[in-house]
Amino acid sequence: MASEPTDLELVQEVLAGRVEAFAILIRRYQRLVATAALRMGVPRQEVEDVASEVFYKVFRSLRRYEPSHALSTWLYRITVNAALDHKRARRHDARSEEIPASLADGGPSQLDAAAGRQRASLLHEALQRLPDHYRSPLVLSHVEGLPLDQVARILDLPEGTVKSRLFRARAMLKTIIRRHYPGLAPEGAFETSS
Amino acid sequence: MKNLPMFPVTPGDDPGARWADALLSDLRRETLDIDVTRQVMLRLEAHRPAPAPIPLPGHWPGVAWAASIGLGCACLVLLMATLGAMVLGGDEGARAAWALVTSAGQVTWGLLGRFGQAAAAFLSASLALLRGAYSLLDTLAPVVRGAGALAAMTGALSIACSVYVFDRARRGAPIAGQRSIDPIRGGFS
Repeated sequence: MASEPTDLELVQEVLAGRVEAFAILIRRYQRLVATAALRMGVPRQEVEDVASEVFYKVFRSLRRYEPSHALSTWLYRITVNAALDHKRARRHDARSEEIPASLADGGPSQLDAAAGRQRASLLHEALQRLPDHYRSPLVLSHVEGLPLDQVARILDLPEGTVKSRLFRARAMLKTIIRRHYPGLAPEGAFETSS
Repeated sequence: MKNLPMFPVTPGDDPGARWADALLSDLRRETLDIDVTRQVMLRLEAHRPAPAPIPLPGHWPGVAWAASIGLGCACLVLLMATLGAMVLGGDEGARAAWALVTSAGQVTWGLLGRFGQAAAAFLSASLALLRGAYSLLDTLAPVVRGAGALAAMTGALSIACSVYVFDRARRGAPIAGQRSIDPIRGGFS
């Protein structure tokens, strides 16, 4: 059985004219792009459009891809920018529509899932209150779980700047949670701070 | 930013990475499965966007400049060498071109000479006029000085008169805002 082609091999094939190879790249990374866009605050029903735009942009600028960095880093960068562009273009919050209509429908597991979705929705709302340049590093670091150097590469910022933005973003988020969403705070969060 | 006034952030305000991890854990569990492969590939087929050209490395513009200047110099040298060979070889065309160049030079030189003569005549006329004006001013200097002194004296006299008139007027004017006692009715007017 032949091994899967690497990202670089696929990129080279696309650049050589075999556009079909791009479909493999899309299948490989569409979940990452969609999830990142969702976590960056793109409404669920518009994630497909944003992801489609991201892959279109990736294809257009594929020659600029630097193989020294992972393709995922580059995709994250384009996705973050696309999500911010999308937010600027639409200036409304569609997330309220995603809150389940009724939490009383279904059994306990469905109730848990519904509560989780509602909590996630409120967290998204809280994150939307942060300025873009603070939200992006926070989401990449604490939601996507990326290391600091990769966040810095994605945002094209020095690591020190990312660190200070993370510090300020967490402080702002703490204030937002305390004022507007006290129920979301982790247990004992406001008594002890690490 | 909505509902969040600007506030100074101190080290104590940062709740820490663990706090953020714990808070946002629900978002980490949130994933989304989509399939945009067909949509993107159809779009690519429909528009057939040309991949963007490769950006040039930073030092390439410098190399391009140097190459352009070098090639320009080489072309100039080649041209001069060809012209030199034609002139030295007694080429008919080169002789005709040389005759044309010398004729053009002579014509230009003649025109410049004429232009120079005209400019010199204009300058000498202007100088004569300036000299005449200076002589006239020199002759009339005492008269001008007398007129100036008279004007200055008249000005000083006018200022003195104005000061006197304004001073008188100021002394005789009523004081603004002060209530005066009505001598007839015995009250304030």
